[in-house]
Amino acid sequence: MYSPTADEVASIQIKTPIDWNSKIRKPGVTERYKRLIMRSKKDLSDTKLENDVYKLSMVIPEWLKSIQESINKSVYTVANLEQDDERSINQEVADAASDFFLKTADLLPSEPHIYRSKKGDLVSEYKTNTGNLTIIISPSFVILFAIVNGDPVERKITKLNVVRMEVEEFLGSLATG
Amino acid sequence: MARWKPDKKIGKHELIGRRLFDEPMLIGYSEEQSFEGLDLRNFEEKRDDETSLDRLGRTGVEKGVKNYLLRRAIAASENFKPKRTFNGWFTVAAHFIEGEQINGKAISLIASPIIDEDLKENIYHAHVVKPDETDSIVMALYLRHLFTKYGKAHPVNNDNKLTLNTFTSKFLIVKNFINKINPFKSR
Repeated sequence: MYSPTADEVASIQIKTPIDWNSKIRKPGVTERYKRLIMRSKKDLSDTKLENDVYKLSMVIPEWLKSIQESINKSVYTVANLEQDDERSINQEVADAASDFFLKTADLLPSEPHIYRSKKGDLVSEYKTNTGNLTIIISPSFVILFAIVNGDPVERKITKLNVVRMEVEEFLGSLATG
Repeated sequence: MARWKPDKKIGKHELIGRRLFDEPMLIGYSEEQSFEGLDLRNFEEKRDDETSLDRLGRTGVEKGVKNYLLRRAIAASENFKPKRTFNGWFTVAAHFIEGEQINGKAISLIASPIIDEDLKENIYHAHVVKPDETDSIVMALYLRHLFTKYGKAHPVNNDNKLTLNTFTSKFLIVKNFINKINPFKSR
């Protein structure tokens, strides 16, 4: 006596592209497509680490481009190098600032207000939900300074290869008080 | 009434002021993002580890002292290249500075009258000394914080025939803003 399989009697079936009309395909064709799909899945895990596959991509804020332009336009020229009116920055500071914003822009609380410190570093000021945040950027260090519950909190970052992680951690600590 | 003659030691309730000058913008920056706060450069010292301050009165701003200092502040503003505008002082009672700590190291507030000729003289001059191993920019950040938290703005007005610029109007906005949000005003 013929007994239908569960697959044949199921009222609802979830079909994949391979299943679609598989009964009228030749077995060889189905197998070939299965192999193709399996290979493409395999390629993904072969070429990328798991962390890379699941890592969220950085959302670049709209202000980043204009800040980068402002920084680049403020680099000393031959004309304003001779008479320093404190309106220009040197190339090393500009490079450090551009790199900092590129790495951390999505973490920062708002568009910064920028100016040059008296010693030539770049000062960036931000409004946050808990108060003001100031970040000083120089070629050799970054200083984060914020007021939490009326008290100052400060961090100096000298290992610039971990600046993103440090900024994320610092801002996270502000949020939790 | 004779103008106050300051003692060698700064009294706890004396009003200590930091001069505020307008500061230049970056040449390539159009200030799309405004900032309602005191400019850090007003608390930076370019030359050495001592931050200059004025003693404006025994418990509040004394008119004679203010007039004495105003002439000197305006003269100082004209020594900048290019010239800048003097906008007034941000003041705080001495006890809020003396003994405050930066990373565990105390700030010293010292009377340091300048004896010189004409407008270079300043018998009301004082200064704070930067603790060792503290970056000068960090010192400026802490001073700005102390003045903002405990202090008050004393802008100069048109009677002094100073050129008021946009910074001054922003300065007044900041003053009102700080007065509104500062929970320590009643202290």
